[in-house]
Amino acid sequence: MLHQLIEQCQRGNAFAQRRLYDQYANRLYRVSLRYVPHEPDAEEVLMNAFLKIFRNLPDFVYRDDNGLEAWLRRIVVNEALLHLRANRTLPIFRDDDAPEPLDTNELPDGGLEAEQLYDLIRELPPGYRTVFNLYAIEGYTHRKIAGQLHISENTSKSQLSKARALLQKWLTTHGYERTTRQSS
Amino acid sequence: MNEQHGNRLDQQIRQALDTLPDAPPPGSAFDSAKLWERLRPELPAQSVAAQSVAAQSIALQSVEKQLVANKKRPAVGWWLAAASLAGLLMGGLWWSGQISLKRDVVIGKSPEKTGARTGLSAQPNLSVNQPNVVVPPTEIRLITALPEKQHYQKRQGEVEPILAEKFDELADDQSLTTNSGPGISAPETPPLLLTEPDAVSVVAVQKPAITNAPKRRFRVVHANELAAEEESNVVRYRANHFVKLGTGNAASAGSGGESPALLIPLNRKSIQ
Repeated sequence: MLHQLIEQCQRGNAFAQRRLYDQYANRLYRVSLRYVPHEPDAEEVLMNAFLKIFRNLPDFVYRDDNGLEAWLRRIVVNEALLHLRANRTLPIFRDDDAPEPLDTNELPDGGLEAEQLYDLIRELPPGYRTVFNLYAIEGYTHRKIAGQLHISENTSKSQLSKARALLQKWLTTHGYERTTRQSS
Repeated sequence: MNEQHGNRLDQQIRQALDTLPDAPPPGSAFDSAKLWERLRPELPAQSVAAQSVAAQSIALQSVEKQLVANKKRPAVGWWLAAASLAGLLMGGLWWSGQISLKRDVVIGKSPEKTGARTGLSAQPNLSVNQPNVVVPPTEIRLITALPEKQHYQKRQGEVEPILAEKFDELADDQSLTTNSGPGISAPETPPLLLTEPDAVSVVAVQKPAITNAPKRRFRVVHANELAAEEESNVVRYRANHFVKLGTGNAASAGSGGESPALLIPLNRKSIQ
């Protein structure tokens, strides 16, 4: 089904393009919003990403649905990084203002609410958020992150460690409190 | 926080994010339809471009098919082109050879050079008694076309008897004649001698030889020099006086002095 849709898009079928857009627009908008918290900027990133998607779709070789989604997400992430670079909003990675990592192995019990986690990630400082998104969610390696962000691998590792510690801290304290506050 | 603990946290977060609904975050003003409206005007151009690319690829495929079909045909055209080219080359070589042969005859080239090309070295090419044979038709045409034609014809009567002696002298001179034998071959520059009274005609005759023929050596003679030679020959052989025999006083003749009555100056104008 999706394979046929891709084939139609590759032939320039506008209806198929609209269907593909409708299927992935919201999901990819969330991806964009994780990197670019400002919503209009995230929309612009998404629009540029879709333009690139439809431009490069004739060269795309469809294997399975997961491969297609990973390809779409990669384009959105690259476009978001380009946007951050173009607007000089790429995070400045500093180690001095980082919170102390928590020496606890405690994780929040029970299932984490998805929307709550999504909001917490968006609230991370720019440097932590970008490295955490790239490493923990997109699956990039530290070397690749270092290449993309023009930082060292050690900086990437330290940023990831601090992002994890901050998230755990929020989840164990503020997160639950906020969840409780929101639910009440 | 060790690496394993962090990886477990990452995994939990990933699993939680995978359950996110296919909708904008709560409270977001994102409208996918509006974004599509902004996106759509830029898409048709791309789709048209994609269609044009597809059309180009189809055209390229058809061209490739035609090329493959042409490859299967025998290359008759190439053979024809090669044969015509070879024919043109051979014709050009033959024509250039003919032109150079004619030029040799016209200029009165040295017999050994001409013979080496034409294979006629054993034959005496020109005779002293037939000096006019040396003059090619083209040269005659050039000379007759000159405005001083009448002047040339008028002086020709004076030059011809001198030329007979001139040729005898030149025949004795080995540097100017051929090796074929004394008195057989013509001098190297009979056309120049024939046309020497008129410097303009000499230049006109020599021009095509200079422009077309390879380097050939001619005897370079100035017109004044030729005139001087002519005058000297005339002085040598011209009878300025003639003696009247059988008349006059014998006594006065035996005294050793010439009788003015017997020595009569030759007046050519009066004779002619």
